[in-house]
Amino acid sequence: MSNLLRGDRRPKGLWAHLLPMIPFALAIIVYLWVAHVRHTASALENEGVSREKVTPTATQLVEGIKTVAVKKDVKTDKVLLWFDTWASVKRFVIAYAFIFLPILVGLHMGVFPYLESALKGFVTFLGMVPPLALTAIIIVVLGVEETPKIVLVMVGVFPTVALSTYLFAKDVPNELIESALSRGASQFEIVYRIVLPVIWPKVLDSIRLSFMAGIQCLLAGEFMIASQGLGYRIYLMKRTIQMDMIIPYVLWMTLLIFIADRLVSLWISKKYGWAQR
Amino acid sequence: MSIEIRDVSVRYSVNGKPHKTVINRVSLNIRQGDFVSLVGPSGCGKTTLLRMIFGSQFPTEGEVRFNGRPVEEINRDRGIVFQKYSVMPNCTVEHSIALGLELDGGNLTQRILHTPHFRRVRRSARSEARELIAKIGLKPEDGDKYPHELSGGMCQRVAIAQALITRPKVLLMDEPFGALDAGVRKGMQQMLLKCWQDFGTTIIFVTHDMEEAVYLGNRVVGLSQLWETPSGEKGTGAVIVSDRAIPGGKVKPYSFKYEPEFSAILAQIQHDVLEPEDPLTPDRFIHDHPDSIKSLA
Repeated sequence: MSNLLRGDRRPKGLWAHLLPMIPFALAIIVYLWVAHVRHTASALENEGVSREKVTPTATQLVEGIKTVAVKKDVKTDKVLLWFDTWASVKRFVIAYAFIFLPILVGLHMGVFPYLESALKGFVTFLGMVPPLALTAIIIVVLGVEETPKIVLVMVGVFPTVALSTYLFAKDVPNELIESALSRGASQFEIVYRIVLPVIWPKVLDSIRLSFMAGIQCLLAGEFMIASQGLGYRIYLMKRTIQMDMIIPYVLWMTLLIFIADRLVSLWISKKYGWAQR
Repeated sequence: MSIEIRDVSVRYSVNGKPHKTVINRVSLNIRQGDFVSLVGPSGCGKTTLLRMIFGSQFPTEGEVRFNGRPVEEINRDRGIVFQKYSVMPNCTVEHSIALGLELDGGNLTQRILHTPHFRRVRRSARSEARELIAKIGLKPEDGDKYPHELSGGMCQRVAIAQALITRPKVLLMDEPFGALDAGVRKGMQQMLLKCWQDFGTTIIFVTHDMEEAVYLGNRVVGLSQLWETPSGEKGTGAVIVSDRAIPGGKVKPYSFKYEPEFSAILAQIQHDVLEPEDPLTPDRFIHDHPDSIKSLA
């Protein structure tokens, strides 16, 4: 048998593109096969008409996508998918618009020992609180409007971003800071012209990694209480087992996360090539 | 420019237990324009001594004075080159070198508003940086490169240039060539001597490489904890066991390394500083430099 460990034995050309697709293809085939089996069984039991709802067929899925993404909903007179996407994205973006707060906190903690000493324990504590455990408190305190959902995202994301920014800032070699001081940098310049630019690509990366936590919190908030939004809709459709619509919603969210993740990755690699070592 | 180190001791207390003395009542004067090599066995506190002159560490006892004033903080008077991490990873070579002048280029509002003053400062900083790039032996096109695209030697050249651009009164160097291989070192040494000549800066150069120390410096200060009291007890903490003026002119040609005089001094200093088998007693310390101070006599 040939040695598969060797570094130069990598899939080339067509294989390099084909191999990653195989698991996806397999998953789809398995799903369609299971769906087919279940529908056949259901049809046998129910005089030739399948009542299977858990695993919609490809045709049913296409119909489902049309219902949520093209046709207007009778009750609300809105195209649900876009309506919900807009609602969720808005909450998410508003929450992330304040991401500068934890970045500034972490940055200063990493540079100034007094702030580090004062805040490290508290921020670590905040980071340990499971954000979803706070849903009840947040809704009780902040009501049922948009604010609690936005705050929940912040609660889930900000402590982690603050802590990782702090660690990055602390990791900046002392040599860089001392060398800049010896060239006349002020404390202000040390923070904003030396430390921040050096850690910025890493901070962006930690923001990127925080997207998943942020989305979990947003969904949890929307599950709890909302009148629109991707999480709310899934929660609603669960009651009537509308799998033909739930599955497109889930795939759509995955795609949104993927795009957001890629955009930030692209931003880092295009603008901060020096950070890729 | 003058640096006066007076009876400086550095002690650490470990877990509240009796102090460990690293540096024991060291006194030293350094005058304008000298190239002082600071050598010693590892752990003798040569970096600590350098950092006390720099202003990032402070003596437990005694005083370090710069131009008559006690050193209290890091400032533009004293430039520094470390063994690594001196260069900003996010700046191009030209930007890194110019930074020292740009940091002086007006306050934040001027920077944000891009005032003519700010633009003028930046323009002249960048053009001065380009001149320096040539001086340190880089090609003009290297100015647009980032540190990760440079070799270790080139990075250290940039580190030297970025420190020199603000014309510090003294350049402190902590094992600047320690991570470079012998071939690269040779070129770096030549370049450093040329910069020393051109800028007229005082240089304090910490190294564990004796040959490098004797070749570069016109004064070699040997700090060592390997010494004995006259009664034969092991000395506590490092003292200056050797403080020598190096002949051979200010900027020595490379061939100086092959002169018998060079070998003799090198062997002597190596023995005095590094030899644990035959520790010196204070009466055998050689302090033949005119500025040297015998503190333990």
